Amino acid sequence: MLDRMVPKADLNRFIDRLASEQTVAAPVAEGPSIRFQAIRAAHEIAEHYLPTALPPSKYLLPVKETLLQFRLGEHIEMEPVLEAPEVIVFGIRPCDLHALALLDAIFIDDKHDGHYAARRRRITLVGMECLEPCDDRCFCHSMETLEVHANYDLLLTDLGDDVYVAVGSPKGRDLFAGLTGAREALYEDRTRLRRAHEARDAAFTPRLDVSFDQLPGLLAESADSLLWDVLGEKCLSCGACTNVCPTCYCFDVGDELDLDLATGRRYRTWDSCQLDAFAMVGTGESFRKPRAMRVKHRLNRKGRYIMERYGRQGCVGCGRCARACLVDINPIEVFNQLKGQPASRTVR
Amino acid sequence: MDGPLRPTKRPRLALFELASCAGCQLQILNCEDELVDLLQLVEFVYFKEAISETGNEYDIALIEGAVTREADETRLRAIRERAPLVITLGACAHPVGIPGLKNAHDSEEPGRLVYGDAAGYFPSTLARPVDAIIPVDAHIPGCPIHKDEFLSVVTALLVGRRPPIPGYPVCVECRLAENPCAFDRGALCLGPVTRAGCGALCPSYGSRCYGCRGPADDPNVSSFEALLEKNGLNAEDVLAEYVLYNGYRALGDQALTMEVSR
Repeated sequence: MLDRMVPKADLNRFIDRLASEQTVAAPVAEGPSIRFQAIRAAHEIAEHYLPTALPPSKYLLPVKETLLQFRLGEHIEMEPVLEAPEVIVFGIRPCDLHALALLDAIFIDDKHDGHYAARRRRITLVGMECLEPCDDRCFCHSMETLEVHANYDLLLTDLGDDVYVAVGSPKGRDLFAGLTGAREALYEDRTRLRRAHEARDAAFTPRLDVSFDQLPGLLAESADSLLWDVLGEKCLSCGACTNVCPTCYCFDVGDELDLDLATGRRYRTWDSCQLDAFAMVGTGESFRKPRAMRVKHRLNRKGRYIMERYGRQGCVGCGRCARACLVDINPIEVFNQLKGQPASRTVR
Repeated sequence: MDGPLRPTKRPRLALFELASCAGCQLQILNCEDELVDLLQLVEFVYFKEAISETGNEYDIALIEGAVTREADETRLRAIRERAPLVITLGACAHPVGIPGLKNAHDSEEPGRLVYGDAAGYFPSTLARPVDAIIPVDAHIPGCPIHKDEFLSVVTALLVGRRPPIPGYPVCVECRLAENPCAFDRGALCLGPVTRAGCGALCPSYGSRCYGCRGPADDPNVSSFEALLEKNGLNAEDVLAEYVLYNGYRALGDQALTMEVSR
């Protein structure tokens, strides 16, 4: 599909119109916090933004989602609840697009989760390329998630007065068809894009001392590292890291009963492997009680298990967990320390 | 109203008040839309803020307030003997809440400040949580309790489920609410060690957590205190942080750490 070039002013007018007709969500700055939320006009969109407080996965796996309604009686009546609003999510960073591709692989290709799939069908993903690193916590370059070539409907690159628009799907093409002022991208436009990419690639420096595909091996070798104990002593087990993570998707399922003790709802909510009760079974035992085990589990999920199972990065290097962590547990430092301590199981 | 889980006989609830502001009782009265349904399920036989009748036979005793007098202890023991289930309501009853503030003072001083020369007529003890005197089956935390949590606990008890009170810290709900972290704006916050379930109410309105719901099930207290010290607090400041709602546990044994509740 042919790429387009559009003056920024025309794009903003287009967003204004879209937002007046349907639900458009975009990163909005509110004090120090940036969130994806519904906007009414383009000027509400944050200009420069760090990764949002919660990742855009909240539109596919809501923090709390009703799965079914029930009525107890002689026969239990159940009715699935499928809420899947149409929403255009604008301004998704490449790291988050990679994370959404992983969620698609898990919830559609592997498990076919009906609730996820219904929402996924009705969401439009408009990406926004990063041309500068967010801060010293982001390491997308090292995780090879800075570039994105799939899993978006449109991908925008800010070239100053103009925006380069890569069209990724028929849905994206149709959405863009209504934009006045856009024209087909020409050779000169592609040259401008390439120069922007070259400048970008020079601005991002590697932060990991290993390549991302060496992480599974490194983590497997580091199973007995004493670093996990050190991190376990620091970790507050507050769940901030997993809640803000774009590739975390673990959930708990519960029932709510109304006061008539007959009708109610089954829902799912985000859960976290960092919490005490996560690996607790009915008899009260927890299979991952020590904090060190929980921290180790999380970082193995991010650097190893997901890669082994789905062949995709389980961590996209967005740096949200490092920014959220009150005690400075940072995956860059953890991975680099493990790399720097091959004999760590004997180091005191 | 014909669910199979519906008890054949309405359990009788009695609500008793110790040292408190009665705000938790009022939260139950605030269940305006649900009161009619609630009263189909349970019967209140003692509830000072709501009814004038009094009954002395009950299945569930709800206790609001902290223990501050010797007479309270006698009363609680009598209640425990009658009630198959005892549940505390609010921060005063557990972990000890505002009445616990006096524990930070010389034992005579609060009485003198409030009653002056007449202080001798109002003897009072260290403020203690209800479970320091009698075994308690469940705590509904908060200052005040939240009406929805009260209703969900009652519903859970009626169908034989564990009360759905989270054990994890407030940070979980605060992050899900996409609040900026209090620590990032230079404030400090008891969220990392305090039991969630409030939906991070105070931080969501730009304030921070004062710990009214008591400690989470599994707080990393030593790491949290190291964090406070890194943010410029000394040991005395840290203790002062706990005293507002967690005074009994923080001061009871003169230790600087919040005792874990289980």
